[in-house]
Amino acid sequence: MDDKISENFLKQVLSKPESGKSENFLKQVLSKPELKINKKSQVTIFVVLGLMLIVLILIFLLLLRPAETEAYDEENPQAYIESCTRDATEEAIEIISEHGGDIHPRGSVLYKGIDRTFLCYNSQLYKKCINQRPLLIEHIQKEIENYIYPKVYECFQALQKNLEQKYEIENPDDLKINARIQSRHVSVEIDKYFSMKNEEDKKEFEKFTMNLVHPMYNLAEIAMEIVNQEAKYCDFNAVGYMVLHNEFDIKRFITGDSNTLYTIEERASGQKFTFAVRSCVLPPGL
Amino acid sequence: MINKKANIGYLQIMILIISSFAFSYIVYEGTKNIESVDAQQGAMGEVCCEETQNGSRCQYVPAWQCNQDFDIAPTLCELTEFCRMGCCISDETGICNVRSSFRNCENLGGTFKEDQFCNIKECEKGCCIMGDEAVWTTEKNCEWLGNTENEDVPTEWRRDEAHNTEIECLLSVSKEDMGACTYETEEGEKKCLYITAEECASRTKSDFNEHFFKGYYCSNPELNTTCKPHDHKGCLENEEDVYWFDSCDNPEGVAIDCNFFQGTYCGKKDGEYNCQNINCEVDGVVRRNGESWCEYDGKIGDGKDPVGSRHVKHICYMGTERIEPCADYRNEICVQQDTTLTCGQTVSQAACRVNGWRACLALNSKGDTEGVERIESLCEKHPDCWLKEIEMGGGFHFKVCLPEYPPGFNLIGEYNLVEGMEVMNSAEKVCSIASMRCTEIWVCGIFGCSCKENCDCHTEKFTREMNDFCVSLGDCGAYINYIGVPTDGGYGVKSSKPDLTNGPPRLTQTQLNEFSKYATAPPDQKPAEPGNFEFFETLNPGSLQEVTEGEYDPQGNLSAFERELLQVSGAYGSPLLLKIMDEDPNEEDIPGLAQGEIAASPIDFSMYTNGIATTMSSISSQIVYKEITNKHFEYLAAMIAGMLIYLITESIMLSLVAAMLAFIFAIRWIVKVNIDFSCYPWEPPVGGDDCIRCNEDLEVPCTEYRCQSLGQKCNYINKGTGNEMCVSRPKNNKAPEIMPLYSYISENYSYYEVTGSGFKIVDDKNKGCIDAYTPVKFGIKVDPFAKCKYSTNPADRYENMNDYFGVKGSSLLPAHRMMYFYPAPEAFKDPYNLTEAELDELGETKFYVKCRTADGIVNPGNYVIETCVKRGPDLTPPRIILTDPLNKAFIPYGVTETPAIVYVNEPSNCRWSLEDEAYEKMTNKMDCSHDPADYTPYGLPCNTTLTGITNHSTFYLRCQDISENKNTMQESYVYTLSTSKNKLKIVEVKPGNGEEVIAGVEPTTVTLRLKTEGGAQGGVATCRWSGNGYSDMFTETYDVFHSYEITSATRGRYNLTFTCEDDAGNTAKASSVFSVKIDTGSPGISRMYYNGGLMIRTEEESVCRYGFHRAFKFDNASEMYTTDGLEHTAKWVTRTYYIQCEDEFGNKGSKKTIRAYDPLY
Repeated sequence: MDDKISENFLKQVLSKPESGKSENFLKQVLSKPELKINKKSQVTIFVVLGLMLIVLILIFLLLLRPAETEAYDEENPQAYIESCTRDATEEAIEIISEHGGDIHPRGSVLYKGIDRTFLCYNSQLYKKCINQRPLLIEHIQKEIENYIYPKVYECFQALQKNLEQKYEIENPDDLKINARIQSRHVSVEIDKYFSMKNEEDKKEFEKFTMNLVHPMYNLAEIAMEIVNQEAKYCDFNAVGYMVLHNEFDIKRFITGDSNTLYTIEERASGQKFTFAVRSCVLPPGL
Repeated sequence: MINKKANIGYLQIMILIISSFAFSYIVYEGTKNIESVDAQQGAMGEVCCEETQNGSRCQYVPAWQCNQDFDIAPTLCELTEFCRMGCCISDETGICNVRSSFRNCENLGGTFKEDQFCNIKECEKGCCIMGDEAVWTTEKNCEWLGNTENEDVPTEWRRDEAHNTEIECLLSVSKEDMGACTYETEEGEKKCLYITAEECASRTKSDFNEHFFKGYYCSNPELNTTCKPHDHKGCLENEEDVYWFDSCDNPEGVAIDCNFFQGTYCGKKDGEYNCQNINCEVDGVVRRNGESWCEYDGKIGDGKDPVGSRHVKHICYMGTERIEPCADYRNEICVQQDTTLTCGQTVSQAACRVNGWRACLALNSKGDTEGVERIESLCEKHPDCWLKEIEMGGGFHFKVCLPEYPPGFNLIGEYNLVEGMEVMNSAEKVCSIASMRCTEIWVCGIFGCSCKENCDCHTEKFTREMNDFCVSLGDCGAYINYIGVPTDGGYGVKSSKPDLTNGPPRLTQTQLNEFSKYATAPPDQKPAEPGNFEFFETLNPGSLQEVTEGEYDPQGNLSAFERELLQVSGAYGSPLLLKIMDEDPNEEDIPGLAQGEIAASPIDFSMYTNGIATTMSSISSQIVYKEITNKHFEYLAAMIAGMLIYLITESIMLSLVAAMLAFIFAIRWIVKVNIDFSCYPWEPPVGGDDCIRCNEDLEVPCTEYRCQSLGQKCNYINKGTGNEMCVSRPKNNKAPEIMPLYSYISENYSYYEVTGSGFKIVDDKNKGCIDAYTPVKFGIKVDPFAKCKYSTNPADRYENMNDYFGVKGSSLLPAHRMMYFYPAPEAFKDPYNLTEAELDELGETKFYVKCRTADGIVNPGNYVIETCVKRGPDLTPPRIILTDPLNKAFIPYGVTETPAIVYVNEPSNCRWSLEDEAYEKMTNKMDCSHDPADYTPYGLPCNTTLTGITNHSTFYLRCQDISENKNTMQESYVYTLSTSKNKLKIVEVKPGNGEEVIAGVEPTTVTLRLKTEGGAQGGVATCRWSGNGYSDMFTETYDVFHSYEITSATRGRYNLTFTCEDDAGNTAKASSVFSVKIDTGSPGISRMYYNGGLMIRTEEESVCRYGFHRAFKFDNASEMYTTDGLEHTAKWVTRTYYIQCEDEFGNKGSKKTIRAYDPLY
């Protein structure tokens, strides 16, 4: 079959005057075994052509598809901002939890490919560690605020853009964000004036809130307890703690460099918080 | 028969050894530069950075690592304002953070308190009860939780006898207080919640009885709610049992009784809620939930842990086995304690605790002061040490305290350069402890020699015993890695008299292979011992406590240390688990426990000893370090002195005249043969074929240390990425090419006649011999990296060579350095009766160097380094290298004369005078040794007694050598000594004798303070304290003020003795008996009355506040006026006052209610 196709193809080529080569020449060429188009090559060509066709069809379909739009409940911009803030906050918490309290870790160690902040650290051998992030709760709150600020700002810009076709929007730049992490939940309060007005109605907003169920406070509180014990006793008894608080799972791992990595997990939600400690490090030898 | 040529050869060897270490000159140079080195460290050394470049706060690091935008101070962080340590309290959450720095805390808006371990009232934890939930936390955090969690839930913080520990707190809340709380919806539907009475009252804003039905479930028909009973089963968060739920999703009793401590927990499987088994099955053995145990790579203990091995703790938790490897390099060991339960089952609890190996080495150094028997006893009692006895059939008989679990070392050689000189790294230092010399005594007659003393030293027993000693010190000697591959590059043995005895044989391959059995844990292997309580307490002098004398002891017979640990969150976990496991499984679990019983039961504190021991180990290690350094020199001195003695004997023995005399008079003579054992760091196998084995172990993660132990070519890659691998570097079959290290040779000397097979070291000017008594540094480059050895015997193979090239010869490095120091051959002319020709021969040396690459390839031929020492008359005057006491030293008060030793670099006579005058005019002669046997690392000693010492005495010293030229010092060595002006005194002790230290929390921090005066330097001294069997050096000392923090002082009497000593040796002693009292009582109100206003009187000094609502917050309430803290007044209002008082320790009394009436009626 493939041989026949090749044959026909060649005949067509040969019939074209612009091909410019004599039949003899082509026959000579074809007679050379290394230039002969064999079955495998033909299959490859058709596979490539087939793939190109599929890609073209997909591009075509994508172009035809109407642009994705976000649904806005014009009656409830609060809900949109809350949802938008929630996404940003969840993102911030995820990063903070992986990094051990920082969005951009400072004073950290690479563990499983991710920088983990040292919450307690002493570069000196034998010495107890120094608390690097006292008031960790407050620190995390600030990290969340700083991380979500531009994103929340964008949320308002996006809301404005979507509503301004139907409403006259007042959206000044002033924006104040207050993140609070409390037992088993995280809340964000946004102080921001936003108004939407049309001929019939005017709606004004000054405060937006978002509540998220998340054990960040509880995880951070345990992290602070671990840091306190590491700074005082150079150790933390994870099993003993888990026996009394079995809602949490604490994993402790000492690397070959004597850094101790802790991962605290709330078993019910599966939420984790990983950080590093370097305390009372003993050198190899003296 | 030994001839004179051989004698010259041995003399050369001896000189070579002297020259290799170049000791006296190095010491001289070293002492000369002490001041400048110190000054340099001050300028370029470590500083306290408020923030480092990588973002760490308050680190004591080299200055270049500091972030220049933050404060930097050239001192310890603890001594700076910005980085002083304290307790940082959150004003928002009330959570305390120990060891926080001042600036960091202030910047974050926290409240900084000076006590770095937060032993303050604000940080005291108590029981925070919020409805049916209890949290062990601070009072302020409790208040915050109450405000931020469910405000409907009443919150109360308690710290009383019933809520004195975390477990008492957690067990204090009971579901029995729960009940049905009914309410009607807007639609008139009767709904219900299963909550506490308080919560119900709060939610329904009504009296308790109206809506709350204690002990009722919501589906109870009497309540007539819409909730239907037993609608479905499910799990409650943090509850172990499977519960029934009604149709309103309220729990209503246990459907299936699970028991967390007995190994079952509520869970869902195949769509059904049931008790899931949370025990683990490990290798056919059932491990209980919460159980932990140790596993090891191979043999542990008896000083036999294989190189690269790691102790690993395994835990069974919630049905899954997990591992927690202990710290690498066996700095931590896994200890295990097995408990047999009443049912006969054994449950294990394991912990990684610090390996106390440093203490074992330190114990050896205390023999002089505490007696050998005491040290032996201490060693045998120490769980991490063992006592090894070595006996070689004579005086070579000693006991040494060695690590039971030998530590691991960094197996990759590194350059350690100090002042341009290579120095030993810590592994080399530790291993060198086992580098010893056994001197055999042989008695010779004309018909031959026979060994009479220490005769096992030239046998295989010596090699084997010394290697055991060497291996037990750490990764030293001939031993195996954790996969059982043996190597023997870590030791050397040699005899000083190979013609008499070749010395002990090296270990055979069969003997080496025998070690391989230790790569597998023997079936009867016992886990490491946790150690007894006495052991742990000795590790922690900072938590010193005295036996309480009839004072309040809320936890029965527990020691203060135990009591302190019980305040730590999680401390009760393991004992509680054991206790409950041992209960009848059919009994109610937690409520059935007597809490006091748990507290008083023996508790495995091994989990908490890690840090305590670690802290102590820093002190121990410093002691060890110093002593090893000193000891090392002692060994060297002994070795060289011994060598010289041997040579003298040898010369006599070899003398034909002596032999004839011996024959005629039947005199026998003694020959000493030195057998040297050199202990070096363990050598990984050549090549890298086994590197991959590191990645194959699924239980113990591959680390740099494990990887290094598998082969010299092994390389640990992808560190920190989660894809760490041990791989072999590409194979290189190139033989090592050796050449001079051109960048490293002393000024005025050069490499000469360099060929592919060697070079000469010559004087740069005339290409001739080098000067005597002049240190010459030189080195070799080697490509590829290699370990190098040298010998004076051209026939030696690499494996047989016993001396590494320089301090770092045993490391795979691209270059190796040595220093060469050669005495004038003439100095040996008379003592050895040498001819000119022999002197010429003596002055010429050849080193035969061989190097071996990581692939195991050795240079095929010898690489020869030649040099010679200038002959000719000695024209150099002697030089004083060192004095004892040191120049410019102080001597004790009242002393007017003192013995002194002056060390001179060559055989000389010395004199001293109070005037700077010519040698000949000096009348005070010193007793100088000219015997090469007396050569010390500092030179030859001259003894004298210096008299007439006053406040500041200057002595002038001059020496004249004993060569034919009688070279004399033309300038005096100015030697100054000063007596102390007055006695050293301890003038202030705090806490003073009979003083009471009162604190509001237990444990508390007590700071010991001393002030010293007088002595040699106006009171500057070093002080120690001791008491109750403990002792420690003051943390801040070598000053006139000294301080030490007992960080965990508990109530009781303290009887401490203080000893201070200054540089001159003046000592002062003082003692103090004081007591620590804990004031936990709240201030009582003894009287309330009207006197122009409301007046109250408190029993102790307090601050009192009042409000007109029961629920007032103390901090926000109005403060009553007081002048003395005892009488308090407030304006008279005819309302009901609620008054609360707080003493200086933060103890608050209960709120008192006072109903005020109009005084006129």
